[in-house]
Amino acid sequence: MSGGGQPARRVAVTGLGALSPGGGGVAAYRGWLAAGHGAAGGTIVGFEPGRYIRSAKLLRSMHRTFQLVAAAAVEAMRAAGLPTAESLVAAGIAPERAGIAAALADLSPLTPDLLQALAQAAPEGEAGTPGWARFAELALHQLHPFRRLTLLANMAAAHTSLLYGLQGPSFTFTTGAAAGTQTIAEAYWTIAHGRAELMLCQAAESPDQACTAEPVVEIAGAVVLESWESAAQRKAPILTELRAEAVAGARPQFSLAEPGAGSPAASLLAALLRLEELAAAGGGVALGELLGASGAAA
Amino acid sequence: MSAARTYGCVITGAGVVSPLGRGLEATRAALREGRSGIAPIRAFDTQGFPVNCAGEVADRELPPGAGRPEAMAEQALAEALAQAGLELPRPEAGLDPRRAVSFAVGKPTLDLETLARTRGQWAAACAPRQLLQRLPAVERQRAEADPSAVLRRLARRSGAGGPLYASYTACASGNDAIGLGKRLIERGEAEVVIAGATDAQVHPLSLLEFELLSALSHEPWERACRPFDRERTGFVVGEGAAVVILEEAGHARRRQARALAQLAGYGSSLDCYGLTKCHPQGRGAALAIRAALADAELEPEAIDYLNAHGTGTVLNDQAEAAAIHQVWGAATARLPVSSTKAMTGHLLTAASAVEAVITLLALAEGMLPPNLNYQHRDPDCDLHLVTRAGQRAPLRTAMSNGFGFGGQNSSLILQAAIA
Repeated sequence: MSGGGQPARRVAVTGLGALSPGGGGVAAYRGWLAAGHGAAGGTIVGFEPGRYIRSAKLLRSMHRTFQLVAAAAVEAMRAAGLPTAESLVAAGIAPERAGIAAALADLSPLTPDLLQALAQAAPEGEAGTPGWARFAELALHQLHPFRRLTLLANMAAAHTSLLYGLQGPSFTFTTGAAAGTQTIAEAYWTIAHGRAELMLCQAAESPDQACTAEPVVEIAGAVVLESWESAAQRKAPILTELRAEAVAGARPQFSLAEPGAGSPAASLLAALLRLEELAAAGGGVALGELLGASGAAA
Repeated sequence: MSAARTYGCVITGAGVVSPLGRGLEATRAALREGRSGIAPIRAFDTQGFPVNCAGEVADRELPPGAGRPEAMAEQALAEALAQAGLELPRPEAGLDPRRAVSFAVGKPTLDLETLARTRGQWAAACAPRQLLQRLPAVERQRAEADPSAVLRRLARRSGAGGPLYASYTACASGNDAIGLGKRLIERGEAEVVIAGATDAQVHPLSLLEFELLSALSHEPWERACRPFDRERTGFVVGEGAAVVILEEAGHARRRQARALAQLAGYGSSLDCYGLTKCHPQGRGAALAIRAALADAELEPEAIDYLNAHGTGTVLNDQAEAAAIHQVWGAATARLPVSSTKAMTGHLLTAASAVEAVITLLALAEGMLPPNLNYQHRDPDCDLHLVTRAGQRAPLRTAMSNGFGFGGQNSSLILQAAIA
């Protein structure tokens, strides 16, 4: 079970998913970038979360960012030939052997209901601290009861776990631009060391969440990593093999990255595009090469 | 290198700031004496507020507001680095690429006073981005408190030029940050990892958000938090930070650093049950506990003490007790368990990092931290609880649980270092 002393397991990439203002799919995102739209920002017009998340109840409690994460995850899982929770079980992947590595930026707490309560508690023209008793009374009546939960970064993993019944290891990285690629590195090692059969890497960003006034591109991406054994056994569409390049005696330096204020989703998508390009050349993809290409120094 | 090669992970330094006091010595004394850090709130006027107590850090040097978590983390970091005897690299040598950081920073609190004062500037705004364009002061505060920005500064203060990981898994964050640090060492990405978490949520909005979730205790502050007690009604919010210095065992040995303990196991899981409630039978919690045991290559009976997540809410404690019964079976009756949240309050993002340090102190001292305020046995939480302070026991191996909203579960196992 643990990595100690066991041979490393091979890791396959079995699914990719992307959503962008260019539309659904990796090719649409690539085309949208190639057309030079990336710098200006943009939103996904006509996004229908109900196409991906059937539960209306679940949808109502989901921040748009989490809806996008879930949609990209569904795209990637469909590509991996695992469209439903039942299909995972049928493929012999136990729920506790399938986990999530997510990357998110902090979600803005400046919601309209909060601002309304604050405005009423601090009447215009009055200076100084608002009366907390008045604010409390208003907030308890006006704020969404699940406000705290709807803004937690790890809720992306919670929502996706509910879609697919995933009960395995779970990580949520908030390291800015480095976070997206960190999902792939951690997911890789989790599988290579035998702690999971499948890891779903996911990230998204929407202008609704942004804590920045800079233009934001609404994007989401997901990558399915799977043990080679599991992928081969269920005859999954294997895109490529992901490898830790092994240089005898050398130690890997994969996740050296500048944790800047950039977008976790953009870094995951950059890695995803690179993955596709390297896979096309055949012969597997080295993790260090992949991460180096997307903001992390190999 | 072979991806399978793993490196042993030891803890060579620790630092803590919590409602129990600043530093390891103050924390050790409070645990030994069973002295709670929960008291009436001093941070703001609670007149007319639904709750009036919290676990605050009584330190006038600490700033209020969004900079408070980082200031607490800096204090804990300084103590941990000093205990580990880790010097900062010489300036001409630059940052050490073999030194990494894995840290969790709680959500920055909003500056409600500034927002209220500047109401005229934002009253007509409807979207956060429009608002931020009108409120550069608020945007600046939040950018300063962004986890990746805090992480970069902590890295510079600790001479770390290696991998930097910020993670957030709600109330399991501390355990996950430390556990990810263990993984970095095991796969050879770092020789030293500065790991931990910090959070400061004794703030009007945060308390109201938890009140909306019906999670807070309204009992008198002296016994507001009563984990596993039949009469428990909820948790008390606390604040604090903890840092541990994780080190590859060979690296520690070569520089003759004293290993305080071995970080033997880490496991994480998802409940996959609901967004607000944990699985009633503790399914996810049991998975995390079992994963940590498997990682440490230990049987449940090897655990001499369990520091429970034990928030003091009806459902969480019941689910955790169920998980413990699932894993330990009949041996549950012999496993000493306590939740130190009765003394500290719930430190949220920082909770399990502080509890990992408390567990470390328990191992080092041969001391069982008490589960304060326990009076009434709950048949749904039938555990061997440590109800009195000052109890001693020979401890070799201990576990600390951290469970979070969204069904995130993680467990750590610490083993006393062999002298």
